[in-house]
Amino acid sequence: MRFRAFALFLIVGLFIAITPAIAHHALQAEFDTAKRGEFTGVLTKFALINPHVRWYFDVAKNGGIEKWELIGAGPQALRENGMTRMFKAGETLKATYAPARDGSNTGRVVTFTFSDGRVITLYHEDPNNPNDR
Amino acid sequence: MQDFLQRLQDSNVGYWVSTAPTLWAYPTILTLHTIGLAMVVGPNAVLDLRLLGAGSRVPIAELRPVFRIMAVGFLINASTGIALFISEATEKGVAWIFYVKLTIIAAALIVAARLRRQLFAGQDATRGDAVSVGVKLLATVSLALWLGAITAGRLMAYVK
Repeated sequence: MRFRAFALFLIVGLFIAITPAIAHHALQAEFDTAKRGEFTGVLTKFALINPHVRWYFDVAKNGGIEKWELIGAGPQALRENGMTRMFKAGETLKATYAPARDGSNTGRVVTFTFSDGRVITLYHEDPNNPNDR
Repeated sequence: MQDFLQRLQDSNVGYWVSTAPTLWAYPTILTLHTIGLAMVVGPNAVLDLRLLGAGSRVPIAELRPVFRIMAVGFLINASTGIALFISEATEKGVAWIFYVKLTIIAAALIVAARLRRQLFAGQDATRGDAVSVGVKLLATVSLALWLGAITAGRLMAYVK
């Protein structure tokens, strides 16, 4: 009996341990891919890490600085598109993104525009096409 | 420190682990890390549960090989863990939960070594199948620590 209670404790513990995994990996659950936001900010860090690369920005707004974090594809996808070495901290970039549903300063990156006018697209789905969402 | 972590992450090894577009890089290393985890924690849990009374007809002496499986699993996880750390050194090197995980693993290994000494030291057979309160306590602590290590490891993806 005591063993059965212990086994139950183990199973419940495991479920608690894996619950965060459910929160991961549903792009449309975390970001509203039918909407677009945009800002121009200074890139403070580019993190080439699994499972998704991240860009961190300082965005000047209303006299202060807002911290923003954009998420992208996996590092392998960026490498295949020759994009792993092109982001330098300190650069000013214009970003468009699919905003987070919870209203936080995060988003799924769609395009970056460099100061020399180059535009790169990192998310190709059409927000007006329901089949793309 | 941040500079060192950045250099580590930007090294050829770090760059290859995180970006190589092949299943043999990051996916394989991460999979081996999970297999190693099973080899360390699984056999350990078998021994701990036996010491706490589960499957009490199994002679404790028969469970001596669990430590060899654990050792192999630990080697796999130490090496894959180092590779994974290099590939995201700037993130994990400053994540407090990562150091919590390492501390818990260190404590769990100390408990495992103590259990091994108390059960099997200096003789071929065990000291019979009677399990002292002290050993039961060690087995309970061992289970709790390994579950804690797994949880802390999983939380590394979500906590900074």
